[in-house]
Amino acid sequence: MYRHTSKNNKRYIDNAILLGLCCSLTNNLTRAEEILNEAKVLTKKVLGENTNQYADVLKVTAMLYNEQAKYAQAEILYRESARIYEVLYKGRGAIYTTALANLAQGLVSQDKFEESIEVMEKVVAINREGDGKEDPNYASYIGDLGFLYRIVGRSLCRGGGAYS
Amino acid sequence: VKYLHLIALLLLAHSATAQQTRESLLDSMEIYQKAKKHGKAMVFAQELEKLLAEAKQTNTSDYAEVLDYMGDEHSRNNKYGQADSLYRVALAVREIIFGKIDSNYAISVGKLAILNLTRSQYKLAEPLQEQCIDILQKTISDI
Repeated sequence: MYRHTSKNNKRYIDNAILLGLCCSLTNNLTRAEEILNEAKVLTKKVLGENTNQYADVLKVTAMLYNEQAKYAQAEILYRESARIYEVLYKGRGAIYTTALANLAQGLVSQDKFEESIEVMEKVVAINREGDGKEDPNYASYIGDLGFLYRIVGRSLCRGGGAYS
Repeated sequence: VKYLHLIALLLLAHSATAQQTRESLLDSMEIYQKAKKHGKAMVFAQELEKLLAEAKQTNTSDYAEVLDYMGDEHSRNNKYGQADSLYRVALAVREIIFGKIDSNYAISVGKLAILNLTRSQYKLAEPLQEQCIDILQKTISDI
């Protein structure tokens, strides 16, 4: 038997989150919810809330809720995970901007286009300013923002924010 | 990189026995791995794999570790078939050493699951990840 160590618990939590992700992707939603709830409780108890693992479990659960069309619940979790990543990565880097892009996607699912634009403008601005420029998704974020501008009837040139 | 290479060469030069040579190669591989110089690390990994196979030391943790590292590199370069083969041999080695109810074996199963997740083969990934979690539940006392 393994001894009680945070390393073992962390290993279990990481793998539980991965299982949650696998089950979400195979549409095994009941199992996904079960294992993610377990991972969330365990992470909070063992590692705490302001940790990568807690943000990860919230993010994957939000993806699951999005899949189940529980958009409002997904938005809450996307926001919370983005808040934790912001603290952990000091508001920079690909992990934080990806979390914001996920939130923007969640907002689009609820037709909250203006709010989504605000978030995506922040994503593009961070990528343009800092080391997030290396983010491989930078180009697609610009495309997403352009798409959102078109939906709300703005052009890229008249769009304001990141493109004014 | 120049200094890393020097350290690696010194380690090799001072290894008098075959066992020391293997340990030096493993150390060198890890040095380059930590420095994220993956091309160099792969050279040492391949050399070490060859030496361990020649010395018939394939049922060892070191051998499984080297195969895992080579698998990681192939996966990083999108050579998923080669990565899969290496991970499966490493898994078989760990089964011989530790048995199937062991966290080392579980992590090896998890590597195969992640590989399938990476190549978007979710239906293959899920049962492997489920197996990994099942073993960890049995082997970690406080879950």
